[in-house]
Amino acid sequence: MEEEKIVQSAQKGDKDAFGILVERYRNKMFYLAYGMTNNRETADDLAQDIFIKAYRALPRFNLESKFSTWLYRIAINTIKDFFRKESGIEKVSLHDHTGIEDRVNFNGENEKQRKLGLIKENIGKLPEKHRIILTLRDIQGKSYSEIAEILNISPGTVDSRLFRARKKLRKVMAPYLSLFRRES
Amino acid sequence: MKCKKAEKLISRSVDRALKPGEEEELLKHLKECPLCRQKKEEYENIFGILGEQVFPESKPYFWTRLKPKLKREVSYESWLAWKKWGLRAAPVSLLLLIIFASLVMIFVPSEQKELSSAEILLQNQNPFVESLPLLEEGRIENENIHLIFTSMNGENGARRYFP
Repeated sequence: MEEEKIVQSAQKGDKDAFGILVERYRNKMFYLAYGMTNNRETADDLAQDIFIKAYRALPRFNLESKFSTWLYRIAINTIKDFFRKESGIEKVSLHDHTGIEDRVNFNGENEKQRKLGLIKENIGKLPEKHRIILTLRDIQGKSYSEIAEILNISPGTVDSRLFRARKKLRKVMAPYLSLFRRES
Repeated sequence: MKCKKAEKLISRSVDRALKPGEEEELLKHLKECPLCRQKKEEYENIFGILGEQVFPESKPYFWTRLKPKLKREVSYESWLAWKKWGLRAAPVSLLLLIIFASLVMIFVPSEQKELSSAEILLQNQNPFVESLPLLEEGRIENENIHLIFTSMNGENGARRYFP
């Protein structure tokens, strides 16, 4: 069934139609939230909140943009709200609790996972807008134009913001950069 | 090309988003600059790993868990709508009530105020105008009553009529 028709049915109050949309996008929303929080429980709660907010706002959705873009906008705002509310809690605490010594000891099968943990921990130290753009581009694999639509910015701004975010991440990861070179 | 611009192009090359001509420009710079070659390697490794991330499964029964929350949301939404419109209606109702009361006060004539005898005299009217028809009937009892009231208004109340 065409997505636009499903959305229109859901707008008329058809819960099953909304259920189809939930099934279609629940993993994407969960992965987005997980990419930002790195915590399964929190990501699941956030994904549920995203769909509740979408359900509430659905009658106002005018189908001018793609449903997925609209849903991602809601998701980004929900995640931002979550971080604002949780600002007292240190963001890094949501991440893997492995000790620094363990993380820098990259031997064996888990090497990639540990490197990944290290990168994600450092993404958590970046400002919110940089975390968002890195999650959308480097974790979710969204194109520049999709990101531009979701964040309501120009593709040029996506390019420059992404560059600044990556540069900053490289800077905060300075002590571990040797681990990401071929000879490591 | 300066290293600062090269870093920007390196970031774009990670996304394979280099514009025509930029790739050649970057390759030329990389051949000459070992620091930028190192940077490129770091960028590719860091962001390559991020893209390969394997996500955990979301918790099961997502829709089953979401459904009752949506139901609650609907009832809460209708209450919120009532509350919202109720709050908007309250000042409007109050305003309408004030306007209605003002109109009533302006257009409905008030009951004629009973004037005191002094006021009647000031208006040059006869204070006994109401009792005149009775007196004109000429009944003896009415005359007596008239005398009683006259005596009460007089200097002493001793003048009483005894039939």
